[in-house]
Amino acid sequence: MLRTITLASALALSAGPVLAHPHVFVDASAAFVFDGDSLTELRITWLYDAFTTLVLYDQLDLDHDRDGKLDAQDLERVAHGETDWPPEYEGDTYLWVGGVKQPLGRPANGVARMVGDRVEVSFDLPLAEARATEGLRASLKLYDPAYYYAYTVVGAAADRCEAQVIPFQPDAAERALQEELNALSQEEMPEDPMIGARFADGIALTCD
Amino acid sequence: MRLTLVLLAILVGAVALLLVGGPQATALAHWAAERQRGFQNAMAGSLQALKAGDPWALATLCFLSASYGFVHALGPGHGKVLLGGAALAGGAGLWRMLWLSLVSALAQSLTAILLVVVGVKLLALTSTEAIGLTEDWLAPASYVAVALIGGMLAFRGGRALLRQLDAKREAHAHHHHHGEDCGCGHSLGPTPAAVAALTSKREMAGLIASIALRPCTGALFLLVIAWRFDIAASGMLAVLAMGLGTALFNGLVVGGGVGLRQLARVAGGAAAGRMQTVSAALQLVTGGAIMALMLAMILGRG
Repeated sequence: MLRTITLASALALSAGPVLAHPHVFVDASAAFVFDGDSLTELRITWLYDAFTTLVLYDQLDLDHDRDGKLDAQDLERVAHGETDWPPEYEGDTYLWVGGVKQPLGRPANGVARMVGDRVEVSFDLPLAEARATEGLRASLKLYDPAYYYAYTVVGAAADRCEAQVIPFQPDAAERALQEELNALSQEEMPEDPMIGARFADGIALTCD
Repeated sequence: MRLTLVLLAILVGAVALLLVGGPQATALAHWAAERQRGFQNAMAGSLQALKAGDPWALATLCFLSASYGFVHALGPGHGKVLLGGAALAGGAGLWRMLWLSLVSALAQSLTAILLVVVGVKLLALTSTEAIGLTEDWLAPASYVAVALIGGMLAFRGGRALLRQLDAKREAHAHHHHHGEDCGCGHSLGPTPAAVAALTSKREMAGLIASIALRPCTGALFLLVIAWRFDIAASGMLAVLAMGLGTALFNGLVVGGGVGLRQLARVAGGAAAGRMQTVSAALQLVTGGAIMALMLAMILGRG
């Protein structure tokens, strides 16, 4: 629900690249899931900031008993609401293999839980086409092009291969890693004028 | 005095940097976003504490909310553009511009309160619909209004420049029949009052309204949460505090604008005629820039 509607307002908010500021903060993590010798799925986790968690009370109509806490039923609503995306929404998840953007399927197996005073949602995103693991070089970026959502990548996991988080570095001195990441997704960065992409943390996946 | 002006001009430079872009602008915007995240998280804690009945949490919430307003204003926004531009171009002094910053930010807070009271509580809109209303209607309306004020500034500046040219030509034709004390500003020339913009009550009201028209999404969210937690009055107070924080930041921008204007006049030369030419040119250029920025914001919408 939040995703459905904020997409519309995010579009309206994307009033040019430098003319937007974030309202929702997400600590995101991603796991690469393999089946046999192929990369088949991503498992994405979004941990919302505490303020947005409270906004969800209203937007998803949670906390009916008004005790300020979310129960199991509320969490089910969150899991459903946050994975019920409009068709054109890509989930702010962009996977690149060899400079080619990989189409992803719709979210599945969504679950939500509370982490302190913050709500967390996890779900699977299948690759439309599985990619062979051998020699695989992939780059994953989690960002909202309109920068209404500000994502910080806090974790990366992979059963095999090596997944490395490459945080956004505002200072030029530590740009080398980032350029490495951008080299993997070369189609994306230079032509992408959206501010969200400029702030994006990334994950590099390297397989033997 | 000079030192103050230079310091103010540096402030303007910092803000201009944010608007123009570049890696440092990205770094600064990123810093502001990180601060906002911190304040936002802490505000959630205060809201929970208030709901649980801790009266001190209201003071904390107001402080955090004001801080949020300050760092949020560091990001791009129409209010800052107009206020900074008006300070740079207009004839209003520092105190009047500071007052305008304060009133327009508080008026913006009131718009958020009004929208939630009338829209969400009386008309039973969902908070999402209220935000949609803000983004789809109020934001563009506000940008158009700000662009119009920019256009008005540019028009006046251009007209004043033309008149000065005419006056010069005429003065030349008259072979300086008038005494020196008459200057070049006789009936056709621009009086300081004609160049000074945004000083009439109606114009100031227009400026305030154009900014207040578009409430901050963060303020709407805060109010919606407060209502749900049955602490609506605290929410409203916190939203007004948010306006104070925004006013504080816009006050810095306005100070920078006034400082830069004075510098431009000093640099332009002390002669009254030249100073008026500089004022008129500033007004033309700044008004045009405000208009261009706002049109970019309107056209850039998805």
